[in-house]
Order: sequence, then structure tokens, then C-alpha cells
Amino acid sequence: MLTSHRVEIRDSIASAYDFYEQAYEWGWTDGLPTILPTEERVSAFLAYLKRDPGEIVAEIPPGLGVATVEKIAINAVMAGCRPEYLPVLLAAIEAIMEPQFNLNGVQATTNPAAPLLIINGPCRDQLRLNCGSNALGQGCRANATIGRALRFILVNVGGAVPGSVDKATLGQPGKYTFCLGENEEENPWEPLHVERGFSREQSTVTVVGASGTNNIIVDGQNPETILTVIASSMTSMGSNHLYLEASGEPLVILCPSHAAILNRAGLAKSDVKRVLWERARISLDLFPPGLAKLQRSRGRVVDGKVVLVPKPESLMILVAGGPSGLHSTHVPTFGDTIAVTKVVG
Amino acid sequence: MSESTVFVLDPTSKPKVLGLKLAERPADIRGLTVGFLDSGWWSFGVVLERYRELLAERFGIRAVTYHKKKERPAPKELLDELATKCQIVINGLAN
Repeated sequence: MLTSHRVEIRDSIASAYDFYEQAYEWGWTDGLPTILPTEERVSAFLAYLKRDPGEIVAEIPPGLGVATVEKIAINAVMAGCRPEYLPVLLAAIEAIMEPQFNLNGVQATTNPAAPLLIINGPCRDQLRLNCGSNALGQGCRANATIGRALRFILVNVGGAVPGSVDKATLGQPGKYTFCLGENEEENPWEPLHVERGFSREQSTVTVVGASGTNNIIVDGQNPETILTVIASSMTSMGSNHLYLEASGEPLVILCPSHAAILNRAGLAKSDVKRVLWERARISLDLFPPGLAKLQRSRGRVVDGKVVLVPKPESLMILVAGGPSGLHSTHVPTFGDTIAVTKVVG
Repeated sequence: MSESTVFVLDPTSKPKVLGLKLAERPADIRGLTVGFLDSGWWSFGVVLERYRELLAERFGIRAVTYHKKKERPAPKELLDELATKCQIVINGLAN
């Protein structure tokens, strides 16, 4: 039995536009048009899930709105999801609710942080998730609408209304949707979820409190050059990883070509992390005095250089993207957040 | 032609606990003890100093307690201590 407040609207093709106007006025959308969450559509989603609509999945901070299965389904319909995306969305919600993810902070911070969803395992094929060309761009329904549905829930249930509760100074496009699959087939090493203790046969969602993406082109076959350029691109005085006391877990998304070159050079994923960690440093001399003092006070200075994170294991490596081009990506994070992985049930 | 209607469902949700009220505001703050809960941000330090000056100048308040948040959210013990010692608390939330 559905318990959400029912709103009566005109039923016609034209009413989709009217609903958009109304939903926007009520603050139900991300600014883009949405699907009408009719009782019939929501019921169909709930029938797929076979769970009690009233079951409480989470109380989403900072507003602590109650995310029942029904509310999650309504937001998923609005975002344009297919019913079979719901288990991924539920796992993502379970992941962001773990205390180490610090959802309260991610939701309210002035940083542009947004949960980035990384999908691993067999569900990538089943849901036709894009793990290849333009995986972080537009064009794939699963990537687009799973990330969008989570954003709807963060606002409609979690209360993170921009400007009032969500204090992001500028935000970033990933706050509309931010979801991709790992290109496990082109990953020469173990996929992210296997590295994090799951089996290849399990489908998982890993959430990262990501601040955006920073493209890194390294046009060449030399692994030394690739690692040096990526390390340099990760390192900036304006990074939250350096500014906050909690240094977090910067993510590097290697394109298949870069990953293959590094693997052919005999480097394991752990070697890549170690070399990046050794090179992602800024000379203390370059810091303005106040920031130099801050870094010294935190014990982040090693051999006259400020380290991005305290240990190589704090770096995350993913392989995604298409076969063309030599563009990897650095995903800086909010800093005060730790990635969490959950199984898609 | 008559127009049919459909029902859409509200995607928003309220917290379980409603009706939490703000503590009663004192009519006069002279002579009260003020607590500062520092978020650790540089900007809160600036605000804190100005509040400290204004409280002393305008209300003669010199009794202040100061705590810096070492973890977020601030532990319950610290909040209880502030609630016991202070009648007013200025809480730094961010930057």
C-alpha cells in the first residue's frame, strides 16, 4: 500500500510539460524535465523489487528524511530509471550511509563534492552500463539515470537543497549525475571490487565523494612519462586532499591504453599507486608561508616536500574509458570522506 | 472533451522526529556564560574573535568556554558539558 501524498494532474501528452513546470516549482527536480511518478509506474517499480514499500532503507542526512522503498522508487521513476536499476540504487544508498563516507559533510560542504558511483561486476552488462567511450559523459541511460536518481534522493529526501542546505560555492556537473562502470575487460589488473575484497562474480557499487574530474593527456608509450604526468596533475595546492586535515583518497581513472602500457612495463596496480604516491608531492618552498606552516603542523612534509596523502594505499585506481585516445582522469575528492563498496543485492 | 486526470506521488520525505524546538532564548544575556564550539576553519576564528569582543563590549560577558571540534559530529559528552556550563553556545558549522 502506497502512502505518499498524491497530487492530481491533467492526463495528456501536454501534461508532461505542465508537470515539469509544477515539479520545478515544488523543488522536486534537478532543473531538468522528469518523468511523471504516477501511481501505476511507481507500483510497477515496486512490483519488480518485491519489497515492502514502507520499509525504511535509510534516513538521509542532513535533513534525515526517511527513504522508504516507496520514496526511492518514486525518485527513480522521476529520474528516468528502469525498474532493474533499483538494486544498484539501493546498494548506492547503503554505501553513502556508512559513517566513513561522511554524507552529512558531502551534502552540506562548500566543496563541489558529489557521490560518484562506480559499478563493478556482472550487472554492468545486464544493465548495459557504459564503462567504455564517454563513460563519464552523456548518452547511456543506466549511467545517466542511476546517478540522477541518487541526486533526487539526496535533495528530495536528504534535504540538500542548493543554497540553503547544500552550501556548494560553485558545485560541478557531477551533481546532476555521476556514475560509470569499470572497464574490467580492459583492466590488466584486478577490478576495483576484487581489490576491495569482493569476488568477480559479485556486482558492487563503490561510492566516492568526488569533487570533479581533471583530464590528463599523456601522449606516448613511456610508462615513466605517464606516471610523472599523472602525479603532477594530481598535485595542486588548492586540493582538499592537502588543505583538510583528513587527506582522503584521490582517485585516478586510467584509460585502457595507459593501463596497458603500465602493465606491459611490469607494474602491478600497487606499484602504480606507490610511484604516484612518491611523485605526487609539492616542494614545501613553493607554498605561501601560512600554508607551509599548516603542512608542517600536520606532519605532511617528507624530505622537504608535501605529500598528497599519507600512504600509497590511500590512492584509488580504476580503469575505464574507450580504446581511443590517451586521456586518463584524476578525480579529486572532498577529502573528509572514505570510499565505500556494497554488494548489489 | 472532458479531461482525465492522473495522480503523481510526492518524492519528498520528512524526518521521523518532528517538532524539535529551539531552546528558549534568554531575554537578557548579561552575566551568562557563552561557549564557543570551533569548527577549526580559519574563518570561524575570525568570527569567534569578533564575537568575543562584542560580547565583552556590549554585554560585559567575559565568561566564555572554548572547545575545538576534534571529530564530527561533536561527541555527545562535549555537547552535554557545554549544555551544563553555558547558557549560550556559538557553534561553528563550516567555513
